[in-house]
Amino acid sequence: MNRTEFLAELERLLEGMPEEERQAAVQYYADYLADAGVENEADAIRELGSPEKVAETIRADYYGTEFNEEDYDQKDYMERYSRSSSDSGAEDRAGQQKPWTSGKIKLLIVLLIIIAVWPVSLGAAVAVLAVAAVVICFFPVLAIAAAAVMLSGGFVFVLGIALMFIPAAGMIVVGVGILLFVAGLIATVGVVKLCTIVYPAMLRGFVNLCRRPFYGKAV
Amino acid sequence: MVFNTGAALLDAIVLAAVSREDEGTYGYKITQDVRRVIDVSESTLYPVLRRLQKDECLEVYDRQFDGRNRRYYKVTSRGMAQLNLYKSEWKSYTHKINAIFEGGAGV
Repeated sequence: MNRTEFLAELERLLEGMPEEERQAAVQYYADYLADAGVENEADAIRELGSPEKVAETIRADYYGTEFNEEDYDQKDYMERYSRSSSDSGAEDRAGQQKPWTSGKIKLLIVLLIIIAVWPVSLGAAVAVLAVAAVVICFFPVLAIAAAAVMLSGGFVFVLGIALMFIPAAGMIVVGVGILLFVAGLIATVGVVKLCTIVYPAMLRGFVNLCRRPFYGKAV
Repeated sequence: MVFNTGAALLDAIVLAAVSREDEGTYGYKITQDVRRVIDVSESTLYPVLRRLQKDECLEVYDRQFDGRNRRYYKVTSRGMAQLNLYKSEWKSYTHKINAIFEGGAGV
């Protein structure tokens, strides 16, 4: 068996492990054999033992420490290793085929809880939606109100012009109209400006919130 | 050898072997260095390196060598702290064993 065959066989035997683990292991042994040198290649492969043995070593350690990190004493370590390397029966292999990372289990549990308490979660979902609707509508309503003030200012101004046959009253009404119009204009511009800041920020916050359960902690 | 090398001792030896190189060192060389000291099979060391890397005791980087990327291992500050712990534990352990073997004071 040459180097290429050894590595291909190892890669095949590590199927079912997370891709990252598999690639790291294959990369390590590719490096290892390249560093052993072409002239020592056969010896190095013989000393490593069969690809089966190497794959079992990797699996035993990966799944062993994944499940119980606490018991890490040598007796247990040796027992586990010798057991999984000698007894590579089909059942054992099948049990190890599915890498259940704790992240997946966590997500599953969260989903199960959501389903189990669905009346509560439905209520919560409706509440969240309502709050979101209020928040989303708040700023447009504010903008419309400001625009209305501006409009009424314009109206009062026109009224003042019409009242000019009594100059004193006309002047006052025109002044009030101008004031209202300017105040409304400032408020409208301000609210629109605020929207361009608040809405993108809200959207980003929401997207982050949705992503959190999936990209939370790297396992 | 008559005495078994436990997982903790193996971790300690690997950390010590890697820490001897400031620039870091690579899998084949680590294997050779460790095998000069204890009798372990060549395939034992990869899982140890991988685990130490996951525990952030070792960090890896790739460097060009001979027209390919070679993966180097380097001890992190955390790994250094762990190694120092192992060293002091080893010192007190061997001290006690020596004491009972040689019948000196302290037992």
